[in-house]
Amino acid sequence: MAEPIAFVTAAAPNYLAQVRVLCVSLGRFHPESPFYAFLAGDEAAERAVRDLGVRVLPLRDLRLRGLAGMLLRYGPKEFCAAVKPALMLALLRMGHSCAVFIDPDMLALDSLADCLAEASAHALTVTPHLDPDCTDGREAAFERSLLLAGMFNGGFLAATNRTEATGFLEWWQERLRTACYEDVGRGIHFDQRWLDLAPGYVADLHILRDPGINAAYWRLPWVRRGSSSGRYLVRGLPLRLFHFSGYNPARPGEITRFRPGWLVESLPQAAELFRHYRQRLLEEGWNEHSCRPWPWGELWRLACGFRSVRRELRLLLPRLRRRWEARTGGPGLSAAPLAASGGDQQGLPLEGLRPEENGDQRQQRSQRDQDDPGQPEPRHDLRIRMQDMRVSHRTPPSAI
Amino acid sequence: MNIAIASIASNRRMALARSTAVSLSLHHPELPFFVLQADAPHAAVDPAREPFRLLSYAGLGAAVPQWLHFHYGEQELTYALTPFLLRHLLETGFDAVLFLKQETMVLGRLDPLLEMLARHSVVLTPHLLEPPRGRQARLRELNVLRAGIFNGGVVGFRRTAESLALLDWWARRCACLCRLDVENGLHFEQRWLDFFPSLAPGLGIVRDPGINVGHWNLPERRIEIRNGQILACGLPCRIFRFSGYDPARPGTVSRYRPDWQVADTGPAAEVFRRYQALLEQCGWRECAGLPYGWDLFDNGEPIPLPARRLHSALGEAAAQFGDPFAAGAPGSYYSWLRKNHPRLFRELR
Repeated sequence: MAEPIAFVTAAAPNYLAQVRVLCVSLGRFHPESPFYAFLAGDEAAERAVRDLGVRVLPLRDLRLRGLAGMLLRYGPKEFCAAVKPALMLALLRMGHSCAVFIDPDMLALDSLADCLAEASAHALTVTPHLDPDCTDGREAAFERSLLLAGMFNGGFLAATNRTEATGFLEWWQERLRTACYEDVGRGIHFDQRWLDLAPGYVADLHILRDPGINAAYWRLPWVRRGSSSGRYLVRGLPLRLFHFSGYNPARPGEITRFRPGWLVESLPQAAELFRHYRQRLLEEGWNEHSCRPWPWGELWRLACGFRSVRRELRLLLPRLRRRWEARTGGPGLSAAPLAASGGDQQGLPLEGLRPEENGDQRQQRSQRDQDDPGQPEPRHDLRIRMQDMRVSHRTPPSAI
Repeated sequence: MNIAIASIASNRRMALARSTAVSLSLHHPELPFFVLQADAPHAAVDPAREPFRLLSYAGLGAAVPQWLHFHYGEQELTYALTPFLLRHLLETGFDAVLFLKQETMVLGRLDPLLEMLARHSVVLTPHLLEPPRGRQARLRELNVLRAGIFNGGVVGFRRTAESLALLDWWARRCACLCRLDVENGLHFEQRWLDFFPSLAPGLGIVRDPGINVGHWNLPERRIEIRNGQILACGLPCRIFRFSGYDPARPGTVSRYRPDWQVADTGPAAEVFRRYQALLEQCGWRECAGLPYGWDLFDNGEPIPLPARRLHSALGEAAAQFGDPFAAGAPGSYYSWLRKNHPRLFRELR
């Protein structure tokens, strides 16, 4: 039997400094709990965290189904989000009774013992973005962004070794295999929106309401510094785990890229926290590590190029065909080999959601929906399929 | 505990409320059933002859924002009034209210639900209790993600400080953001329920497969009929929802699922047949022909939807126009629209 509780994070190699800062800060309060990291199989990056005692998870331990497709479909951000359930399942398989996933861009500032005890007593633990004390008229804009980005933050999750939790993680991993990108209008926001289904799927779901856990920019207005202790507090409770969501150390004056123009210096109480975090990142080699390339970059860029060529051709071919037909008076070029094959799947709306969409939307959707489960998997995982190239074309402005 | 059951309907859908009332009274004759008329009064809807207690829109008083019936069309208004009606009933002395949306048939005693309501300040039913299977599994889940995790058809509130605060918040959101715009995260009143697990520690999530069966979870609920009793997953089916069911096309499950025939639903087809018979008994044909009372300006011109949206967006500035339905006066909203936005009316023709 391994240690009961273990932490795990997933990061592209250019986030190595963040991983080191998180690991050191967690180790201060929880030296007894092992810290695992998935670094996308990058050996140089893996060597660079050995001195901290980080247990590196190799790609093969994740037992990912459809790995080649994921590497073609996803860039670093999407891929690291898409392996969260596999990482937690790997830890549970190793014998840990509770696997705690933490995004790399977090800093532990106090002990998590109470919340870990709560998490250990439930199948699945999530942290909500919104809490009862911050719903007023002014927050409607934030609430509307959450309707698109998801109710729970994917930056902190805990699962215990119970059938209900592992079943949920397996289902989630299967969804993330093909649908972990940003297409908020369709109900997809990386890994996160899928978590909204958890209250229905997991009877023993625990909603961790401690405002000091996984606090991010949306709780900054309530962050204060205790006058005597110097500890950070959120609404009077200790700030335990801060999530620097959207913070870019290269632009240290800005709190988050999700709210442009919101400056660190506008929050005198929290500015010191950001300065401290940036200092720690620099000490852990951010200048060097942030330049590390994505190990699957060539493959991904090739797939991106292929997708954009295909998209252009799909737009161009019908025009060429019309021109051809106008001149020759008969059928000519065909877009069929490049257009989607298979049935045009209609939506199944609920309570007034009507399947009204124009032809282009329906075509785009039917192309994307072909990745539905039920399609036979290739025998060799490295065989490249047309459908592995498919990904949403739309990138609406991000919310969280 | 003093419990009320509540629903909302416009005049032309009043037969749906009647059918809910009739089916409810078979199992719970003791519970008062209130129906809010989301419409102007009409002779065909006579409070003295209805099988429920009719509440008029005006009866909600100042709790409803002024001109809400102008800001929203028929369906939007019917849904947006949900938190206002629940709050009204809790304030008039009921300890708890169970809301049953139109298109509901009660098939059995609701005791498990009422017991949950005694323990929780809010009770909700998720659309899905387990991942759907089959070819369209992911598509069905995405539809739930866009329409809302919880179904707005069965919602219970017990009077507590927590639930009243939640109702206030929900009512504020429904007052201006109760419309269908799924690309932007809006799905009438229903998507706001997604926040309830975050906002309400006292939330109870109904996991009884026999409560709130609808087209969204029908394949998973394994309907069967044993000795005349309808079962879902082997347990008594207590509330069946017919969202989008059109009695004029009794062969189709829902207008939201035009490709799905009642005949293909297996034993559930019998439930649809019973519902159709109940609707016939409740006079759906007569109701269907009734006009919606707030479709027109008082000069008989239809109100364009953008005119409703614009009036809502004007906020307090709209007060200068007075009654937006009144077209005659020189300073009226209608004459202002005619002068500044004449295209709105041309596009209607």
